[in-house]
Amino acid sequence: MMRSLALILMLALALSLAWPAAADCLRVDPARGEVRFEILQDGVPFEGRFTRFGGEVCFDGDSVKSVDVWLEPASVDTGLPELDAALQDPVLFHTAEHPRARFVSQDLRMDGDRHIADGELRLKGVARTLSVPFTVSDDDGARQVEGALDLMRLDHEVGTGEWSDTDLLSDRVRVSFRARLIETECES
Amino acid sequence: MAAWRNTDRDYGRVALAFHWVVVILVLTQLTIGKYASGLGVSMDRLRWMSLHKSVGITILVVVLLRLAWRLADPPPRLPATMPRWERAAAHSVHWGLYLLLIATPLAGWLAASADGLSVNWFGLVALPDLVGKDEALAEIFEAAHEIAIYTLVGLFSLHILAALRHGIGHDGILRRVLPFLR
Repeated sequence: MMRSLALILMLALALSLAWPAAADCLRVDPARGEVRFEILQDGVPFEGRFTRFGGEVCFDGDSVKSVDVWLEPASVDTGLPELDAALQDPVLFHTAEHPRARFVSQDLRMDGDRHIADGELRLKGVARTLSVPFTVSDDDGARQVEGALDLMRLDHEVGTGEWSDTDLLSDRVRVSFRARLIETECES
Repeated sequence: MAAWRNTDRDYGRVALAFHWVVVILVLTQLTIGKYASGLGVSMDRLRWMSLHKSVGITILVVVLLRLAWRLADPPPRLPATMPRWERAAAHSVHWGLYLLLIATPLAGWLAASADGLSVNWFGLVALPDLVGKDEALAEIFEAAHEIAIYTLVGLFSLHILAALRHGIGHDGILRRVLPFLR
């Protein structure tokens, strides 16, 4: 009887190790995703992307528990090297002093089949509450998040002085993202 | 000088208006372009480039309209007394100017498209991109735009020098285009 009990216990232990933890935190895989932005210049859309980004999305089954993601404004890629360099400037992204923009969720809710993360975006040292709608889908066995958010760049002082003229460069910036989520290194 | 259309000897008011409007637009555009391209990345440059693109499209449209008008209102023939080589040179320069007046703004429009910085005509009409965003193409079209400008200025100078030559020679050619000399 003791042997069967021991076996059962060992089986239970093995199964609990094999089974994913209740809070399943997955990492954003920047190699399989993209973060793009769109702003209006002179009334017409201008696009670019950020190549360095990452973060974590935690699940409990299929429900999203938390989102903590970041991007590096210095990794901006507009296709125009001169512009990319100018964006590092203190009046724009001030990348030397603010290397990361970060969004941390405070509350997660559902809207139909869309998830909405209500949280705080910290960009150029200024925090603003923001709601980010996104979907979670299956991409070849792994989870993929996809969504978009609108932020007002002047709220975060991105573009002060002459750059605050919103006729030529809109205040509203649409950031759209898509990322595959992968297992974090340390799985307990 | 009262005619709207060209006669066998003189240009009419419509052709003259087209000519001088294009001259003013091109001189303005060259100035704006030179100034704007010398600025670093700034709101100022965005503002001037926006104007530059709008004026550029205007030149393109006006020149195309002028060419269309030319079909209905052919220019006065050059006098038979003018040597054949000189008449050929005149035609070459004029057609060269037409070609470059179209190629230059077109190259600019292509460059802006390839840069992803679409053209918005005076904030009223967002013009379509002629090509998709492409760094390599942008470089090519920017170079083409620059070459076209230099060639245009070259032909422009030749055109003015030839006009002065005609004026100094009092051969009656200059007054065809400068009505106040009549």
